[in-house]
Amino acid sequence: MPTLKIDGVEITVPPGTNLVEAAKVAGKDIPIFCYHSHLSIAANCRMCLVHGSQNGRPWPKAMPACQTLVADNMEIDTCSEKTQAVRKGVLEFILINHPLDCPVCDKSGECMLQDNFFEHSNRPSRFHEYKEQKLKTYDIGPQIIYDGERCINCTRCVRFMDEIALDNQLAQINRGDRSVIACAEGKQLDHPYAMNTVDLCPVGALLGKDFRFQKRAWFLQHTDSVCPGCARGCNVVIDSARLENEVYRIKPRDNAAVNGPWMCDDGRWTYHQARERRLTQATVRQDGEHKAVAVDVALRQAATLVRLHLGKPTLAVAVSPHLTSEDLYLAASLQKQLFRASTYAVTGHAPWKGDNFLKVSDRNPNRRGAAAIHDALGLKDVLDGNALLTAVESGKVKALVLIGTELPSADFDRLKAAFSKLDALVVLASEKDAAAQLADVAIPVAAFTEMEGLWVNAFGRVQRVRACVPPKGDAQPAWKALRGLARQLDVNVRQADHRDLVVDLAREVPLFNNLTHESVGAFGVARGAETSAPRKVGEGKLPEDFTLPA
Amino acid sequence: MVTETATVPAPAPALPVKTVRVVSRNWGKPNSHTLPSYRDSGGYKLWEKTVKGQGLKPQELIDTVKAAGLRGMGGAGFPTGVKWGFLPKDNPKPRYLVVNGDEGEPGTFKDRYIMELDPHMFIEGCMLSSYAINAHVCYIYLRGEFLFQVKRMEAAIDEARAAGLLGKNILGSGFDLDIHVHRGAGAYICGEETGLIESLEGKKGQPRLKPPFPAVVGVFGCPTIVNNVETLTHVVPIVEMGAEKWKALGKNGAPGTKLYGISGHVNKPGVYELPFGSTMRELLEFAGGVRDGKKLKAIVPGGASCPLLLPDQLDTPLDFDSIKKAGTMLGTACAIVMDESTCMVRAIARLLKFYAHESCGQCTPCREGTHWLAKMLTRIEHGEGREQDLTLIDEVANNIMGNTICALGDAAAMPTISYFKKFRHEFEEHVKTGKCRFGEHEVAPRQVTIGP
Repeated sequence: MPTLKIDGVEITVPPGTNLVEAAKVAGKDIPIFCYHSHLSIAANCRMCLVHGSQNGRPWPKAMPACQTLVADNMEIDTCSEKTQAVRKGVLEFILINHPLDCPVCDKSGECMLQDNFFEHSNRPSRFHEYKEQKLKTYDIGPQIIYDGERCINCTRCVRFMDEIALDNQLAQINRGDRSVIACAEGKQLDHPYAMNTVDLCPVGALLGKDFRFQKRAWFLQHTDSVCPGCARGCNVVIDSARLENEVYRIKPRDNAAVNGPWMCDDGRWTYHQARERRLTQATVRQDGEHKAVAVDVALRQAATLVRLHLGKPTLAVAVSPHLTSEDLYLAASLQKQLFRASTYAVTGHAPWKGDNFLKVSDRNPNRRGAAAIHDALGLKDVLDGNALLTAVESGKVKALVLIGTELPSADFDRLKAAFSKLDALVVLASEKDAAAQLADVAIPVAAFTEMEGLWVNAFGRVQRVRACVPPKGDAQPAWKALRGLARQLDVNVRQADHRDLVVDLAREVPLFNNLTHESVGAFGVARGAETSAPRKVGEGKLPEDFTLPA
Repeated sequence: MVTETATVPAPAPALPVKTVRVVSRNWGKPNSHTLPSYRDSGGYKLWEKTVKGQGLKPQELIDTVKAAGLRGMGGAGFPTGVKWGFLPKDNPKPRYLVVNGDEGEPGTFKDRYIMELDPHMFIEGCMLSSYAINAHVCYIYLRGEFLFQVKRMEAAIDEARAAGLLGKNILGSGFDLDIHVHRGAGAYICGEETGLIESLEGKKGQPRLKPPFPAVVGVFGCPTIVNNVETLTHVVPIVEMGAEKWKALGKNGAPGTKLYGISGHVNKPGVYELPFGSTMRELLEFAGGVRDGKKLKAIVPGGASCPLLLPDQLDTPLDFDSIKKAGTMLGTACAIVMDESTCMVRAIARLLKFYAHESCGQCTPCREGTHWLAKMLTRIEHGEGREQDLTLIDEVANNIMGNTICALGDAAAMPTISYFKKFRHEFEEHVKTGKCRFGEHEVAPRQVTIGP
């Protein structure tokens, strides 16, 4: 293992480590633009140039830290005047043709160019010539806008498309200071993982249309959570604004065991379902019309409807694999003690095709958790969503309690025909979807951006979902709504608060043994031997017939 | 579009008798570019002998070239034999010989004469070198503008192939070799060996990061040797006459002969083959002295990227080491002579315009810095210079110098620093008076009058 000195700090790191990573070990920071730990080395921004020496002999010139590998008897200086002078020069070059439109740039506040400039140069430009004019607000893809003037040509986006997405949609074209990033003629940046290029862009050159002009970065607070888009459960950061209590975007969070630093575009748009079309008030159907009522009134009405069917073959209870394990645990306990429904089902979205990178075919984030809980509590003959719908359509079910409304079919007419056979439909819904619209009683519950809990991904990894905004309107976590319903049915739920639920879950269900929210932490805990690490540079190949899921 | 008529071969340069004709020995003979003519002068005998195993063995060839002290004639001057020795011994991948015939350096025009006037000697050099490094495919990369040279090279290779000197199982020896000519698209950066390799592979010509060097990972990921046209041509006389005899042709401690080019304000510009190590003064004499009896102002000794040589340094021997001591480089050994009527500000501004245009756009200092310098120098030449520009020129050039991936950044920064240091008074005069002493110049964009 090579031992070297970085600013006098002696460190020993594995051979093959580059100086940028080695400096982190030594607690030093080498500024970068083009370097990314998950992409190949380009060394084109020259921001990480450092002076140093080998065996006491100074290097003839500054070397890029990202490209230079550690060696014994190496000494690096990351902050001497000599190194800083080089950095100032590079930053000055990067900025001469930069439009400096930070006031209208969405990257402002989280821009590496801003950060590096204020940290390492912070001096006025000496450039007295005219600036080069390049592609501006160029529509490079359905989700992305490109700004050639802001672009620093670090080629991170090009390398991502070449090496990770395995679809060479981008290239650097032209020469010299007219260089820009572009697609081939007639092509566009429309890959299902294209939005990762926006995350990778160190400046505001590639911006997602979804977040563009929505919020200044400094108003956002970041919550570590998990994507609900599929059963991989990519680790994400949910950015929400404190004042409005609104979610503005979802970005991937590096977890080598789950998603690396990447996520798919579909996962990014999941926050819209938590923001728009929300069920914010409880509704009760009276004389064919939906009437907004207080949650307690709705719960009482629901209890009245369900009470007749308790323990009878006419009752069906269905839980969604989008709920947290705590919600599912409480629902399963109530099924045993209270509902005793002869039809118990786990619903969930119909599967999609998935791909060979991140997307798995199951679109529901916690099906594995639901299965573990039902096994542990001894629930037998748990149906899936399709079987539930068939049972409802056959007319043998007369009362249905839907806890979470993710159903395998979103076909309104089909659901209407099926649900018309019911005497009572009680739903706990976060969205004003078909089920909520057809329900006799609809009780608003929290969306994934508003709930705390544990999910288990397709590979048996327990991960923590965190609330980043309070529930909208009258919505509450599903377990609270369930507890309210149980109380109306004269059953007192033992667990006084969420913490008790977690303790019980950890005790009763083997998959969650000895786990608390704190021990699961931001990166989750693997239960089981299955691995799910995403491919790295040079691994894997997209199938020829790969297409977007409908 | 370059048309056929526009590229008639330049007549053979009139060579003074005193030059040493070794690689240029066939130049000027009638039909010197054809196989019969080359055979008449004993051509390909060496190759026939070598490929049949009657001559030097591959390792002996490498040792001979090493012993001769042959160095890369494309500009860097790296010892050729040593470079060949860098090929990994245990790599099972095929090896390639790539010939750099991009000749993009402004003021350089020696390789084109080899290809025009004696392509077969060059091909024989390629053959011997391929044999030495055990390469079975050789690519000759020529710049896009070399339309005529490409045709002549292709015709020569066809002749050689028809004569059984190339192809499978050459002359029954069991050795396969083919040579392909690849035409670039006219980018200066493709003269940089890794940029050339990228271009040869069909990609955008942008230099690669080093290490790994091409000898280990080169074209198509295989071990590759990249040599200049002239370098490989010299291999023929070296093998022919032996390392010692060839070495003795040189002067002032430098080995062998060298094609020197000279252009600019001289009476007889052209390519002259002189003993390696001849002085600048001798070369200037061959070229008939400075044009119109004017006074010499400065010489760029080896292509536009080199720092200046001043009149008091005329006795500097033109070899890699001596000229380095004089503060400049031999480069391609094609000198550009400037007389007293030259405005040095205009010269460097025009030069930087070239480098800015040719910067590949990959790394920051060169991509942005060359354009900055070009704009700034042009502004000064146009009489709009500011006092602070005088310190800025040096600082910007020094910020480019040494901080780029390839040598293009250095190639732009070095002359800027040199011109500015050696002719600072001219820059100051431009800034102070807002005028150019050397007369009017074109103001861009040029006014075009249509009609009578």
